[in-house]
Amino acid sequence: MLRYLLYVVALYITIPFSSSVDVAMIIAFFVIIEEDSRFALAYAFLAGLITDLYFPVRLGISSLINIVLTQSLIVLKKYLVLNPLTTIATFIVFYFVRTALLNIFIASPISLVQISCTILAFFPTLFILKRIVRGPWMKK
Amino acid sequence: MRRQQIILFVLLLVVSIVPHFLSEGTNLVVSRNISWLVLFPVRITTNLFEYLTISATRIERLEILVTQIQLENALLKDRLDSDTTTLESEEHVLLKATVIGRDPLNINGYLHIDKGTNHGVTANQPAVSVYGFVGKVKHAGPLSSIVETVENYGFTVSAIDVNTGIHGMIRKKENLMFLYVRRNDQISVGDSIMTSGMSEIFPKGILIGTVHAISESDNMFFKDVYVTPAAPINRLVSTYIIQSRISVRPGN
Repeated sequence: MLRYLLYVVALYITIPFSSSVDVAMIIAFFVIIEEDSRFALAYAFLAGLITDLYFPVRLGISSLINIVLTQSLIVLKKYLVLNPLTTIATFIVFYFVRTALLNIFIASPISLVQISCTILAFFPTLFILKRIVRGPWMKK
Repeated sequence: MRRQQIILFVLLLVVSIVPHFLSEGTNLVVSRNISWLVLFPVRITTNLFEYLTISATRIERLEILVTQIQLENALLKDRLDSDTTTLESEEHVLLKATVIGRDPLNINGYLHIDKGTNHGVTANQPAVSVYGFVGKVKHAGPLSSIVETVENYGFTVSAIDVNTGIHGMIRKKENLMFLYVRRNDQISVGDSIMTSGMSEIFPKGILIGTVHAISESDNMFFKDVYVTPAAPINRLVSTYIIQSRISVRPGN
């Protein structure tokens, strides 16, 4: 339960910086990989909703894309052997598809700087999240 | 896939799709209300960060301003000390005079003051203010006099650039100019120009103004140096006439 609260707090903290580094999507990806499928769906929806509200273009579009992609990833997860290479490859595909869909539906500009920064920030964020979530204090 | 998960997925899908069918106005109202509710913590955090950023910028600007004011204060103190030692000397005394009129045809060119020959004022005595050089007495009547200011067309006074020691002439043309500065002379914007003392009328060390622009002229030998007068002639309400101590001494 404490973990779930942490994810939500992290989402709130990182959303203002999402225009430069999309940490919210990294956290959402981590939740999909590591957590229960139902929570992952709810979290992806919340992340999309907050993104839509914080950068308002069309309400519901990000949450719609997020839950469809999350559901697809939950299905695919069973067939994936997760090592660092496949993890980052999956994230890159996941993030590119999301960015492309946003661009198609609401003409959201594709920022290569944002994409590069997000990919670069992927492993450090994942490492920090794992250290926090899998830390001994969280298991109590 | 578990049934609960499918129900949740469908539910969230429906919730995400519904706003797309709403009218633009309804969509806006819904967005605003949900935003107020959901983004409350984010707005607080963002506002706090913005406030801190703006505060940091303001602090930085204020620090620069304080430094500038301190520097200016030190310079003014120096100038005040300099003025006191120069003007309150054994040779000169100051006579305070109030500006009682101006020439309507040349509003900044001539000032009428309330002191005249009865107070020891004579033609060609220098006039100054707390800001710096004003001009000289052009005509002295018994109870009032006329001061020709530095802003009168053609007014000329010998001057020196304090920073470099370059001698020249201050003359009012279209602008106040520091003349006879050679093209290879290193004069800078912001330099103070003072009276050089090479005159029978004006004592040395009265601030005339500061250099505000330098441009290369067509002249082969000299460049154009523009000066901003130190004394705001159009706002002066009083002036000081510098009198020779010998001329005002009782018995003379």
